[in-house]
Amino acid sequence: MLENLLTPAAVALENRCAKLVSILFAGGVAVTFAERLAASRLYADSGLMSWRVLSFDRARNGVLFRHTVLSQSLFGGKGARASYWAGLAGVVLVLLSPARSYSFTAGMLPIVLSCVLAHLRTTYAGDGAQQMSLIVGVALLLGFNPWVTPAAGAVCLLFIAAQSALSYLASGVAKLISPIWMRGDALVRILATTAFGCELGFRLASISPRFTRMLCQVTVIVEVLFPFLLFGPRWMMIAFFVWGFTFHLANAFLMGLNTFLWAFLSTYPALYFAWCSFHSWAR
Amino acid sequence: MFFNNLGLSGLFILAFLGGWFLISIPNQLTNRFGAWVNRINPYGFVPKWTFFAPVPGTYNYRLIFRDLLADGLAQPWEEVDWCPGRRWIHALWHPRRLTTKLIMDSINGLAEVLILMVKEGMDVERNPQGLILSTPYVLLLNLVMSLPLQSPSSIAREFAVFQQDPFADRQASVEFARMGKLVLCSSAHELRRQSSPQVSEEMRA
Repeated sequence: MLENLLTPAAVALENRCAKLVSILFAGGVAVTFAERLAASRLYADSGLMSWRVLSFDRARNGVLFRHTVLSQSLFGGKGARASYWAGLAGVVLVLLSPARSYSFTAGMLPIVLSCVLAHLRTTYAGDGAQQMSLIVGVALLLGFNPWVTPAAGAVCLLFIAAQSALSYLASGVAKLISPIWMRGDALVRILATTAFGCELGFRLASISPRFTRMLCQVTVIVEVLFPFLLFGPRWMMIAFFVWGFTFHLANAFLMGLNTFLWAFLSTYPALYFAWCSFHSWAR
Repeated sequence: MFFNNLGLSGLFILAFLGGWFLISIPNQLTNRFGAWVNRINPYGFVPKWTFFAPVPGTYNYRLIFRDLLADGLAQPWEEVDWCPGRRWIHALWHPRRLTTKLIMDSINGLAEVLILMVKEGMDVERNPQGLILSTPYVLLLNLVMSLPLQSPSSIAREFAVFQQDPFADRQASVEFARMGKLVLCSSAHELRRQSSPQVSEEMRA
């Protein structure tokens, strides 16, 4: 059954999917790194996210953080900026290189290291897009370098697909057990806030409370059913992808969650690969 | 044949990614399994995908501060404009999101610290050290203390956090945003002498 993943057609599909994943992933991390460089005064010694303050949270976390000079050079303002510039250089290499090439791997390495350092630095100000980017980045680095076989690449794409499916399922189930989501009030209430809402979104949600409540409940149902796209017919998979793109695009415009669009869309080619794999096994 | 093709490096990748995925599953739960993963996950490498659920963020948080002067008087409370409005460009480019998220995480973290302290029977008002030494409090304090002095004779600063329900305010058709419920009012923190402001004026409302 798994041998179907090693046929020439499957390997060609794997490479195409990996390239698409890497393009969307690179776009997302490019925006992330550029935003962090634009906000780099946050990481300065007098900034809100200076290592002088954040190290307070990491003091008990291990040898790396107790070594003052090393941790300052890695996580201080200069270190943070250097890692983001290195990440941007990596993005250029990844976009210009085919998967499994030395240059692709050379590009992925600084991107993944930068993502890892961001996690080590602090979890404050992090979000789901950052989490997904790390997952996709590590999978691409491990599965599409010159030293591993196509079977490893298949494992990595299936891992990305599994994490993506888990993300929608977990998010959906958490909403399913939430009275505010199932009542249909969550959307309008979130859009009323200044941090994650907007005036336009609130007004649109308020035009027809019944429609908004239905939208809430449909979001929950689609998220819970999302993983099942892997087992359904092609039209169902396409419908889920269209819903997902629309959902994340709306979140980008109404809630300012711009990087989520890139991070989660980057998993869709891997989901497609998983769908094709499952359906070739099912035959 | 598939596993033969994987080779040793591929088997390591399979074990590593498989383990990463398996431990991600209990991290979505709010029971003792989720709490256990949370304890061994200080860097957030194990993802948590439950965004805005089961309890979505439906409150606004207002952050205000005032300086205390050498003569014992206090300046008027001033609000920190940490959450500017949404613009269409934020769908593509949103660096300010970092500051907003940092402050939201700090305020939510503060609430968690308070809940934990009350749960462990600590009197927060009489023994505030546990709160003052917590990372969320330090982050908020760092923000507030980095704002320009309200007066040349300012010697200390205190801040407060209010929780406001914007949806309820709109439903009640109030003409101005009410301050809402007080979450925290800090004690006075001594100001260091600073020759120039460390954070730009844009954060002052």
